[in-house]
Amino acid sequence: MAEASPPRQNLGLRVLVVEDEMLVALLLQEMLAVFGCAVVGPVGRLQKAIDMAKREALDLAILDVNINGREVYPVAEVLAARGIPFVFATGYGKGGLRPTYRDCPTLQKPFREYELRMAVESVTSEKS
Amino acid sequence: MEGENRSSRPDEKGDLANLAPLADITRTDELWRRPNRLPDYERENRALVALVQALADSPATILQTLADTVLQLVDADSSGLSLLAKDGNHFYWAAIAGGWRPHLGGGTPRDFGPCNDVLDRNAPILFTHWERRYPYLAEATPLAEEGLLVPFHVEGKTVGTIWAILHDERRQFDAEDLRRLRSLSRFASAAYQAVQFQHAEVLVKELNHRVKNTLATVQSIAAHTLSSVDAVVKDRFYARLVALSRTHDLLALAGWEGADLRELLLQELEPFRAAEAGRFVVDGPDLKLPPKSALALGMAFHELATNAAKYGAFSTSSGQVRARWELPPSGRGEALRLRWVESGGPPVKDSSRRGFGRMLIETGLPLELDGTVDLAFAAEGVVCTIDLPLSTVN
Repeated sequence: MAEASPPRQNLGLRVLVVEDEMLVALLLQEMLAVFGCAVVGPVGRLQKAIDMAKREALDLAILDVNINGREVYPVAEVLAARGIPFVFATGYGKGGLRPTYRDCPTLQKPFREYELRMAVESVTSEKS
Repeated sequence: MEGENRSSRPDEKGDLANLAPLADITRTDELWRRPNRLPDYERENRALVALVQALADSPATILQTLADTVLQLVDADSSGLSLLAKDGNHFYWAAIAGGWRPHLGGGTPRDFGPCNDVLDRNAPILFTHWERRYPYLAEATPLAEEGLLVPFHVEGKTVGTIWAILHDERRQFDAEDLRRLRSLSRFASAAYQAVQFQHAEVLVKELNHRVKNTLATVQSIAAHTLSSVDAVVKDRFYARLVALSRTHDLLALAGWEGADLRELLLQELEPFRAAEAGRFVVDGPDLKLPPKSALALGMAFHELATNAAKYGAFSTSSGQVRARWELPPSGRGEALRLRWVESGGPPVKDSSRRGFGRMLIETGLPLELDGTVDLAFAAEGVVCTIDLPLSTVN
């Protein structure tokens, strides 16, 4: 797969995926693999996600907003404190985000591969 | 009528100056000075029971039944219920009984009328000849000698008023009338919420229907987009979609409260016709799965069964699958163990191929159920062991 992709596609990032819908998590895994990204997780429980956000080496994270009925913001706070960028993925759009996070890059579910790639590139290029 | 009402509202201060001040059209304090009737709790209870019956029989007309009950119980000439309109600009008369019945559907402005006064104070008011302050009410005939209004709350918010009117001086409202009106208002709040709840149920039904149609739409889009794709691949896709849809049916039948594990297994296996042939044995205690777990397990069972039909126990005439689960003995362990055990099929080769089904079972399922999943390719048959915390089950 990697040989078949043009080199510029290979982003080579470690991405934490926080998502409690297994099929969406599997889709993210599939899409991120195309960009040459390694998935950390996926993780579908808030406490586990917080633990991973604290201790894993990460380049960025993709956060589903509603994790088994709980909001993902504590994970976002941990990531923000470590200076790790993140992208929200939600079925509700920006309107469903807490006002303090409305300016964060957000993927509206369902999303396409290029939208995911644009979101990933937008937060990682800001960083460098 | 609403339009007329709103247009007759005074826009300039000059207009307002010619109108009677609020104090001149209210006499609430008098209620407690007047000789009052004695409570008749038996009659009141009978009326409330009738109201509950009406709520059960025809929730759509509960507001009208409420107005009728007020009329009867307070011995008023007219009675009704005013609700704040969704646009927040006016109150509309949602139900009326008695002499004012022809005015049904009319209303008063949000910020200039008796309802507004009651909402402002969040307390009952006894009015007399309100048309002296609110000229538009002169059109609402017969005129109100006295109008008694109490706030109507839903979920702690004041959303309107319940009222009773006397059109002449044969009788006057007293403290007992106020007590009855308040009692009905409290009851009406609960009834109104129950109706809203019923409305929510209607919405859920509609949504179930829509989701099913959306799945069928996805199938159609796929059929047309993938027209040049191998028929076997397309069929695999449809089978997955249908399996998902079936779990959906099971959940919809139970009002999305959960699905029985045994039923879920039998349903997902039904297309393989293995249960009738005695080649699929399900064994375990009754267990209700929450919707999310049921959807995930339903998909996993479908993948396991498909694999069994292609390469495993269901690919021969004598193979068998046993699905068993047991709850941990009380106080010991917190995980439910579910095992899918195949036997009698052709010798299994552990394929290193990680297709969608395997990924779903090995990566997706643990994520979704917060448990662990072991998929073993033993020579005698595939064994899938799913351990899930009881918290995921209950």
